[in-house]
Amino acid sequence: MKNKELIRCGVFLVLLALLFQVLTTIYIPKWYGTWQSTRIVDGFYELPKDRLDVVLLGSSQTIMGLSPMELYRQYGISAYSFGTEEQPLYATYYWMREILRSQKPSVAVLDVNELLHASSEAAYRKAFDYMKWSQVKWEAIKNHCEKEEDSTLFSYILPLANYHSRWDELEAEDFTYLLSDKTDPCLGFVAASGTCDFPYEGTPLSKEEEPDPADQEAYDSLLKIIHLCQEEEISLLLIKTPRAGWNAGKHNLIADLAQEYGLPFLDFNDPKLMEAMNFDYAKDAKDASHLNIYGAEKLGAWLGNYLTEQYQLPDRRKDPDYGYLADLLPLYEMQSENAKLSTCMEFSDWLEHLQERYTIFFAVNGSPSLKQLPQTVLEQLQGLGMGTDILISGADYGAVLQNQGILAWQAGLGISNFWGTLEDQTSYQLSIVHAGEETIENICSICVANEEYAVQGEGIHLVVYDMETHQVVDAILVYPEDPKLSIHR
Amino acid sequence: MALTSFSFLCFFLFTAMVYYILPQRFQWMILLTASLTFYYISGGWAVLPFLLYGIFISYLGGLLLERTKEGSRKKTLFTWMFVVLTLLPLFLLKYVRFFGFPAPFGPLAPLGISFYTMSILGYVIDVSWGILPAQKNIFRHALFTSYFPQMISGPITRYSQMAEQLFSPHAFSYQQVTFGAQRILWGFFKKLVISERLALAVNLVYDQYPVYQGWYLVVATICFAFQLYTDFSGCMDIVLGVSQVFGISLPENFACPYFSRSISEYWRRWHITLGIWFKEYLFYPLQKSPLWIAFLDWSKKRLGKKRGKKLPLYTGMLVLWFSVGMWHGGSWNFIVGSGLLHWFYIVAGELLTPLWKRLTALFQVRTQVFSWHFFQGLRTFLLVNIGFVFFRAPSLKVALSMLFSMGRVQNPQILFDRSLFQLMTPQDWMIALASLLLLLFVSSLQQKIRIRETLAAQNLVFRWSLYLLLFVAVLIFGCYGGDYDAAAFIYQRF
Repeated sequence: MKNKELIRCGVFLVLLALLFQVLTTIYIPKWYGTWQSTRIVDGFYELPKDRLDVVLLGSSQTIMGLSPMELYRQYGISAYSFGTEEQPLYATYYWMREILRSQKPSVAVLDVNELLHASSEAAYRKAFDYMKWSQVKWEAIKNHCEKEEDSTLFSYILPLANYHSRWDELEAEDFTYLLSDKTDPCLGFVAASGTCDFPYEGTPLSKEEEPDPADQEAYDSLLKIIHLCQEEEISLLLIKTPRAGWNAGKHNLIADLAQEYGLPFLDFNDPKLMEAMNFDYAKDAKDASHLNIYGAEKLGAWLGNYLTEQYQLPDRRKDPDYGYLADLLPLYEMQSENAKLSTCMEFSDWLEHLQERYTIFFAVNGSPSLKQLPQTVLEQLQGLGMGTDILISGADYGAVLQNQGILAWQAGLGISNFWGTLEDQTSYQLSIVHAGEETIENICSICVANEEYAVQGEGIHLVVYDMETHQVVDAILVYPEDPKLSIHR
Repeated sequence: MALTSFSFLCFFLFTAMVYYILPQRFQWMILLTASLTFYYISGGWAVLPFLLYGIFISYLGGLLLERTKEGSRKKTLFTWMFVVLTLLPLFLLKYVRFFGFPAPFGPLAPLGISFYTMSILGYVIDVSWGILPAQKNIFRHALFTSYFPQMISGPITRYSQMAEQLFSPHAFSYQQVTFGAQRILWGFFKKLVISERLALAVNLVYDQYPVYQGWYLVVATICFAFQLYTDFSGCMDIVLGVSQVFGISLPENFACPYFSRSISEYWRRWHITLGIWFKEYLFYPLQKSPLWIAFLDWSKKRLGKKRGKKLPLYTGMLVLWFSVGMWHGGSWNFIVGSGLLHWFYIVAGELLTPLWKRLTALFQVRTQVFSWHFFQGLRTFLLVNIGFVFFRAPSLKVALSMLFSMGRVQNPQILFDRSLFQLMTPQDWMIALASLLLLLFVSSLQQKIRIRETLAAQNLVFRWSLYLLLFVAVLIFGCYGGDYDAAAFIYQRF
């Protein structure tokens, strides 16, 4: 081949490879939903080298139950919470090895929930698709595909083979991902909102209960994690975050294993531990197996104290090498505040949790029941900058509130042509349409960035937009005739 | 190993690299090694004996027939013996059940046996006729038999076309390699973007035909026509492209068959090498055989000179088309759908030609205009589609039931009331239609210009943009991975 032809071939192949890589980056799903697996993995790779003292491992129960920033804020512990949705222990083992390529933690805290059941192929994909290429990844996917008939090595090597048909599901984040900032201010933690409202006071532990069976692959992987920690001289602490549906059989399975290998095991389903933390499952958990922000704070406070006492971990709060954590703290606090706002269940409490940086979209059908709002609530609304006279006048009312003042408002019979853009170019549109020819009931609409957020019903509609994090934080409906002013989402 | 698989691409690239790195005198040996390796990887040890048997028997047959005296009874006997021996594995594997006997090898289906058997049978017959000298080197003969690009779905090659190319050295040609790569990419587009996508609708309807009747079957059959064409011709594009990279030209197997204006023309454009093979090795020898000459004489005496010539011709065609149908599969739906039905079309077409001429003259129909040609094309496409119902249906009985349903069940509203979105999503329909329009455009262009050469003369940015766009289209819109089984080429089963 002549030189010119060789160069042309080479350039074309490079272009092809680049195009392929760009398409892969666009088409691979960005798991930014409830469990935020992509953010957690990307955030880990953004950490400076050799900065972690503690790594928190597990699945979704870990990332919602343990907040590294709480450990830092209260005890100066440098930690990262690593877990993807339903992350199998098989993947946790390889992630432990991947973490050790750039970090040297002295303690690993492992939630052992995944010991008890097998995982789906989707869980493996979420665990491995964003792992950077290395000997560790190759070994992980090769061994996995050898065992699983449904998994093909080709689709792990070239994820586009798996995800190319997503072309009709692509969203803005798929295109902006490549150049986006991947730092995670929550250090792998997902600040969850909501409450589950059912009582669970822990699981009485009984050594007589027969241990539950473990999933074999998970069990083998846990043994590998134990041996890896022994080789790397990492102290391994087994835990179980509070979850309904736990039982003594599950506890005994892990307790026996911990005893066999001389490992400490903290089961936070123990009623004594729950009492020590002042843990109320109905208020501190978002569902049957995951904690909300309040539960995570309580667990973090207790665990942080335990870790500091047991492992003599250094306090990094004044260490200049760990200044990045102090820089991230305000961003984490915003996420925490947002989660707490979305956990409130009563309107007055909710109003108390509003922050100055929020823009609040308010819409209400004119209704005599608004006059029934308690004076305290009216004063809180006035504090936001709202004109409460017009609120109780009986007219339909829409307003955009910012910095304790009104950015825009409209009142009358129905709301229409009420739209604009905020400082960060986010568009908004509010409307109230009365029942008539086009609709059979009154419809309220609050669109932010072309997405509908209003909770339907006849009452007070509020949507909260965070001007710092550029996301809608909460969308609620309150019925003014409800004496408790409960929040509906 | 599927032609559209990543492993095949790696295998091909590795073979091509070794092919051009090592001295040219080793090239045919590299191809032989690659071919046998490919065959083993694709089918395992169980199928290798069938290929080796075919190689050995045809090689031995060639040597013996070359030494046997021309015109002797011994030659005739040996020819028939080696024809039978060459066809034996194919018969035992594919046709023995048709004649009511148990299959001695169970469901075993050696890769490409229908294709390479025809190639080596043609070789044996050509040597018997004295057209070719026998190949003395068994390894070279093995390469002709097992040349890997053509093992999956043909084309059916003749020794005279291939020998010089396979065994002579080929210097690296940038143009050949790039043209070959372009053709492979086009083949991937046809197979993965169009064929596999249309298969979604076709499989759903044909597998659940009691549920989907009437116009569902009409739509699915038309989709099948394009599915089959893009599957088979896409495969051919990949095969010919791969071979072109090695500097070896394989014969074309398709020439835009759906542009045909008659069934005869259709078979000159569809699976071209199969049609040529059956004509050269079955039909013409049959027509020239003493038996048929006697038949011709008898027929002329009974029916007169003009009609007398037709009877042996049509009977010969019946044998030809029966054989073509049989070749596609040892069951009546293939014999009818790919064979006898087309015999009927051709014979009926010939017999009705005088009537057509009278009618067109009577109604002053212009026959040299686009509208008439378009009508002829549409008519041919419709007739071919009737045959496809038999081809795709699981049995003759079901095919007849489907055809009956198309006439009996009147539900044309499904074309407008979004019922078709049950067969494929709106997005899939959109991609299928857009891709077929692109295919139509390219096929029309192919009638006028040589596309790759014309593209090569364009500016670099334009060319590369087109290639990269096509590459992206295959990557994004191709049906592969996950739920798709692009490995199964339809004609691979033959």
